[in-house]
Amino acid sequence: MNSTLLLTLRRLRAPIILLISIFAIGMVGLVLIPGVDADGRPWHMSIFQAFYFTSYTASTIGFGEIPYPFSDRQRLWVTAIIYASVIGWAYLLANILSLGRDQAVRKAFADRRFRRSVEALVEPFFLICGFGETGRLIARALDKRGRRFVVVEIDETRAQQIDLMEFRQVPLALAGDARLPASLEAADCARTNVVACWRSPTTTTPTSRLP
Amino acid sequence: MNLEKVIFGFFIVLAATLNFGFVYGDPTDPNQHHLWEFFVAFVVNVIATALKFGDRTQIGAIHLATSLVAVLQLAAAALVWFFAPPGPLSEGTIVSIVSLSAGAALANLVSVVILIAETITLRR
Repeated sequence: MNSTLLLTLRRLRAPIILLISIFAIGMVGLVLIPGVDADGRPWHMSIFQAFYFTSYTASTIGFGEIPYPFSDRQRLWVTAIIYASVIGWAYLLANILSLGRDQAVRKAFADRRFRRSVEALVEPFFLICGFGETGRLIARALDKRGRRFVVVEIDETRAQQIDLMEFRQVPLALAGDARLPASLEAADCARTNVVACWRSPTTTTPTSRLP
Repeated sequence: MNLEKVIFGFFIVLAATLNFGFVYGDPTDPNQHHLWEFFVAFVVNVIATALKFGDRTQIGAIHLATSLVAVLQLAAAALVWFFAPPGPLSEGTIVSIVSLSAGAALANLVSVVILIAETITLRR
């Protein structure tokens, strides 16, 4: 159902696993390397303390050396953790940012938003397949009469332009092929009163169908 | 042979074996259940969960679900360990840690069974 989240997580799999590994190795080292407590006795971190330390170090918060100041041996290991974990975070962040540019992910998010908005429509609406000249005229006419409409347009830039056009109601548009059942299903065609207008590359033939 | 499939299978089986290895032994005896084995089992389980992200198939969903159950059980065991009174573990604490981990081992077993079933159905 929630395929956008899964798609996002799938793209982030490699950096997440890298970060888990860096955390685990860093924690093992922190627990194993002995430190010295306030009274000069040897002291070992617990796993939880190591996790806490790695968390605030890796995220560059850096609360410092707690509960006791580190020995040089510990500091050597912490240096390694710092470099490794910062690279791990940077890798994860770079992946998250590049997801925003990823066409597949953006399309998945846009489709989901479209589906939700159509589902949220309470009033009856018209489905316009193809936003060519005829589709545009029909949309204007419907808008003038205060009717809601939903557009499925195969051309992506044209589908995006619909947002910029002046309508009284907010138009809902999906960039998709109206010949595919999935696009029509996304536009909730079973609920529409009339599926209006069809645009083919060569001719424009408006057709309509009653439910 | 596909390297990704090898890694996938490796981590799922390793998560199950480590988990089993930790649970194996007298549940009342803290000496038979090592902290580090628990730690490694936990980390490998988290990695196995991350590996299962993003498969939209039904089998992929069950795979992810079993891993989430295992991680949840192990996290509960870790919390019991964390809140245990200082000093050597009492019998009651180690029993509850081991039984929670045993639940995780069962979830991991389901995961391995699914993996095997999937492999067998792939063969024609």
